Amino acid sequence: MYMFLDGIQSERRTSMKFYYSVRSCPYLVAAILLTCPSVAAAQQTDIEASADAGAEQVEPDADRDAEMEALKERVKQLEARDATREDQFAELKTAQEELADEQEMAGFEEGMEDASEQVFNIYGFFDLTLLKTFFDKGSPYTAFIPEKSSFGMSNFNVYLSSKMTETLSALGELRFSFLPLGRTDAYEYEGIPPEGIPAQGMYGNEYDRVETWVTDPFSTQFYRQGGVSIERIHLTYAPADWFQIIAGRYITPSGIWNIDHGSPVVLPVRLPWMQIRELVPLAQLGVQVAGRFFPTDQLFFDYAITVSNGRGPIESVQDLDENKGVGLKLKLSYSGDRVRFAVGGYGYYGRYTDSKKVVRVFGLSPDADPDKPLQFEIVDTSVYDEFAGATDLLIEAFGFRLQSEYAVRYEYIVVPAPLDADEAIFAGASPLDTLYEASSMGHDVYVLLAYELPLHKWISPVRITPYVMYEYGEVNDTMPYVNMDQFIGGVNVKPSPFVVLKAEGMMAVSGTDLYGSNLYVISAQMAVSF
Amino acid sequence: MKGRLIVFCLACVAFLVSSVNSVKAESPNDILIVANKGVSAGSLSLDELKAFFFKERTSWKTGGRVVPIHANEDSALRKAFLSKVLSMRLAQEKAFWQEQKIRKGMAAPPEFSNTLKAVFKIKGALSYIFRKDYREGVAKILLVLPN
Repeated sequence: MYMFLDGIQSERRTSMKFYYSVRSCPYLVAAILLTCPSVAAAQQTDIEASADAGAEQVEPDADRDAEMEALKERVKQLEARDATREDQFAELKTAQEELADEQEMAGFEEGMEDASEQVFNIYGFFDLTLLKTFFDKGSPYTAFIPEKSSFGMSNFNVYLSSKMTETLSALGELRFSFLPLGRTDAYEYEGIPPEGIPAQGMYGNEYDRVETWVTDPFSTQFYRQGGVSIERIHLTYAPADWFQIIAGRYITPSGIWNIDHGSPVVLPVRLPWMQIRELVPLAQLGVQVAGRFFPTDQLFFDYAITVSNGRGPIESVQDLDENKGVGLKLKLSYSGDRVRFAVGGYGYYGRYTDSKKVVRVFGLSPDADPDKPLQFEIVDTSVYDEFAGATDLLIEAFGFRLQSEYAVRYEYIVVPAPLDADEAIFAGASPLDTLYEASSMGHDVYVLLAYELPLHKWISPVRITPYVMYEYGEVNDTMPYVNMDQFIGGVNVKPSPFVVLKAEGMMAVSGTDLYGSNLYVISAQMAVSF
Repeated sequence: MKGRLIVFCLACVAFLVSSVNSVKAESPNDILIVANKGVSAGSLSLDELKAFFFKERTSWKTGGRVVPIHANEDSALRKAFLSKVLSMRLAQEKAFWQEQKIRKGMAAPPEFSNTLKAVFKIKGALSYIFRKDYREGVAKILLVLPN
């Protein structure tokens, strides 16, 4: 009996503990019931077994059964409440996410306004070149290039770019220079007196080199002035890919080198001869209409029509004739995953005119009209028509770069200009002789082959690109001394996206024997973009 | 022999089915190419996408200017996009834009830490985002690049 009572009390204690556990932790109960039905079943079996064992001695306890039923009912209620809470929790979470989205959207309104505002950038590049030349002592090469090893800074270009609206932008490129310091204005000819021979049109015979010292009157400090060249400054209106208008001074959309043009971009140190001799004008002042079409997603077709002052002695200030320079560019490019290909051409026609202004005053000039006592007449001193064409080819594949350009130019002289003394002596004449320009033809082609070594896995971001280049330049068939073949080889190293180091050797073979031996140049350059 | 052939064919079919399933499986690191909701284009090819981010192309086929937007350069998203779409590393991309600035005065696309926000706000914007960061209804998905 005691044992039975103990069993009942023990069972009741267990049930009460279970009850309090249920009250204190409904989740635990639910978890136990859900995850361990076998435990509950086992417990039920134990209870039944215990009841069976006791049945032999006592009758079933009705209170205990009622209590068990009440407990089961309570568990069901708690489970139902738990499910309701989960639903409420899910609803709250959704509402919170929606609120966060709304707050984020509201944040967009404030945070993104700047994106549509005017964007203004200043950047640029400069370079430092070390040059050493080798040629026969006394060779006419001395007239053009330094004989002694020398450092030089040819480029300090600053860009000003502004994107005013979605379709309107402006771009300026200024080239700062120490020039004209050091420019040779006149040579001294042995055998001619210092005052020259005025009777033959030669006034003075002294070596003259430009000096640019100035004094600040406020501080009395001496310093050297430099020069500024406006490479380009233009407005671009680009409402669509297929149509844009560029107005101002723009870089002629011809070839590859002329567009690349910056020392951090081009591979070699030396420019191609066709760039130096300007077979096609490098820049023009006027208007350009350009655009791009897309025959396929990887194929681009570019066009450009240029109208400008053309070439002239002061074409960046004003045109001295009514004949405008016109040009047309067509280019087809393919841009694949590992292969890029482009072929293009540019044709140009223009008239070069130089002139002087002559004043006629009645009583002084024999041709003056008494009805028009003061007249100004413009007299052409040099006029020629020119036709120029250029084609270019670029293939980039698997680290290789093959680049080539060909340019041809025909110059038809209308009003011949006299050659100056320096040009006369290179033509084989005396500086006292008067020679005139003649119609001429010139053409030039270069081929550049480069290969970027596949070392990026080991030395990234460093890029090392060896290159070789050959140029055949017969830029003027009436002036053999300006014609030249060039053989160039070198290596271009980019230790960072902003710095380029180059080392190069060059051999030039002149189109005339006037220079004696070949010209050899070794050079190193550091080009920096910022 | 015939039995082996049947087994081989069944194996091939099973492989293809599993491949298709694996392609279709969405990953939180999939890159979604997203555009401003005002853009009327419905899809985009990978070549077009490259052309937009190299600024070789600046207008949508359906009209209007494209504003390509990059994620911040130190983000995993930017690195994944460069590798998967432009096939270049960050240093190469920097060098490319340094050169483009000098050649044509062209600037690199602007950068935003939250590209989805930028696309939501800027008219004609085109950018990219990991699938896990995408919010339904904020931008239009033009292309999915599986992880």
